[in-house]
Amino acid sequence: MQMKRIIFLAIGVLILVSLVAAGCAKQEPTGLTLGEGEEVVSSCVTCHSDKATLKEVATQEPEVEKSEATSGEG
Amino acid sequence: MEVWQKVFLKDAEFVESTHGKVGCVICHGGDSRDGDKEIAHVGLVADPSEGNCNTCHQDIAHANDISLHTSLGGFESVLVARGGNLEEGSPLAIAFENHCQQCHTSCGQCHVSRPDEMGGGLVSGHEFRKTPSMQYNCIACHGARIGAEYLGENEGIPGDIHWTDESMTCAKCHSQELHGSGQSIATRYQNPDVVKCEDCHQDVWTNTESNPQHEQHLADLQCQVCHSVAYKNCYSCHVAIDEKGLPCRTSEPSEIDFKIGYNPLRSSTRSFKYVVLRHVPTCVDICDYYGDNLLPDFNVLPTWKYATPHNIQLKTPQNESCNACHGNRRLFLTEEDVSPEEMEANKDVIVTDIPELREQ
Repeated sequence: MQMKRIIFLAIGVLILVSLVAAGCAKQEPTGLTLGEGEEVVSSCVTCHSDKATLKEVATQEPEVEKSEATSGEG
Repeated sequence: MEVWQKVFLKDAEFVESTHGKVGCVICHGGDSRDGDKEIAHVGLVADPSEGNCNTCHQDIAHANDISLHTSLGGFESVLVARGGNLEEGSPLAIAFENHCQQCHTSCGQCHVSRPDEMGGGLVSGHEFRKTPSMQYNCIACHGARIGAEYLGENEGIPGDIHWTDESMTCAKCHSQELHGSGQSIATRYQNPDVVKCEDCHQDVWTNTESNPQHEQHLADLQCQVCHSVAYKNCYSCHVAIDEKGLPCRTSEPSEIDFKIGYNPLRSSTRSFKYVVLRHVPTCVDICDYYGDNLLPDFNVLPTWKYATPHNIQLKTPQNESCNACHGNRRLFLTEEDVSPEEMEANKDVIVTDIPELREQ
């Protein structure tokens, strides 16, 4: 009888620990699923909503050269 | 605007919206599975309007495809009317490609981002704004004349009463017409949905007894003849390719002026005899860099065009009294206002019978 209690208690602790562990684990962006295998939210949103990352990886756009000969209003 | 700001999704809630749920790659392409920027961006389409918006918004997208905002049909129709040859490879077609094509827009450049011509960049995260931003979209392109008039940025000229008193943004009046009517048209005034004063001010037409000036003039005068004030006129414009091979243009300084002329677009829906005219940035040799006499029928259309200045006032200098306008030659487009080389083009809009002074 005593042994049974210990086994149930151990199983209970195990379940509790695994639940807590799952809750604390770092969540990977899993995204919403639109259809079969189609990833909706992805690394696109992860990067484009992270100001620091965007600043870090941003590259200067090629400057569109405009003529200096242009004058007057457009 | 910094480069990163142009593509920053400041509001992550976007992904829960209808458009957000579609998924980035469905419209923009690229590879969302890879965290490396270079790989993720292979095949990326920054402005995916073409071929995507019409999946869900068929009616609007179809109409918009041939709207003036997209097709530049307004430029094209004027050049063709003036005898221009726009067949592929012709000198005028090359000029058109170099100098006019930049002025079209796409669904995204009104509803999501700033226009490319203004440097692009998301307006408010990736939010799809049903009503485009007046500041970042409408006036970004229509700022030199209409925007400046409306906001009162021309020195000494008040802003439009619809803005100064009512804070009405562009879309308050201009809505469905901006997507076109679904028919190919030559000017915005041919669009059956084009905004009209009477859309809001019906009482002016139904209750003329309380206003003798309205009773007298509603049929003959465009509303702006009495209710707009001085506006910007642009003169001369020459397009060319500079020494570095870049498209360039030159024009003379603009002038703030107010001119009433004969209606060049007189029709059953615009039957006024007198309208306000604006000199547009053109001249007979505008494209001479690309070849001689590319617009052989230049004089078919006036250079003083039917205008709807966006600086409406209840009280204006010309509606102060009958004789503020009657007999006031300065308000009317006469031969003295037109350069000799443009006289023929404007012969039908130059006023020859200025209304005589009224006995007070």
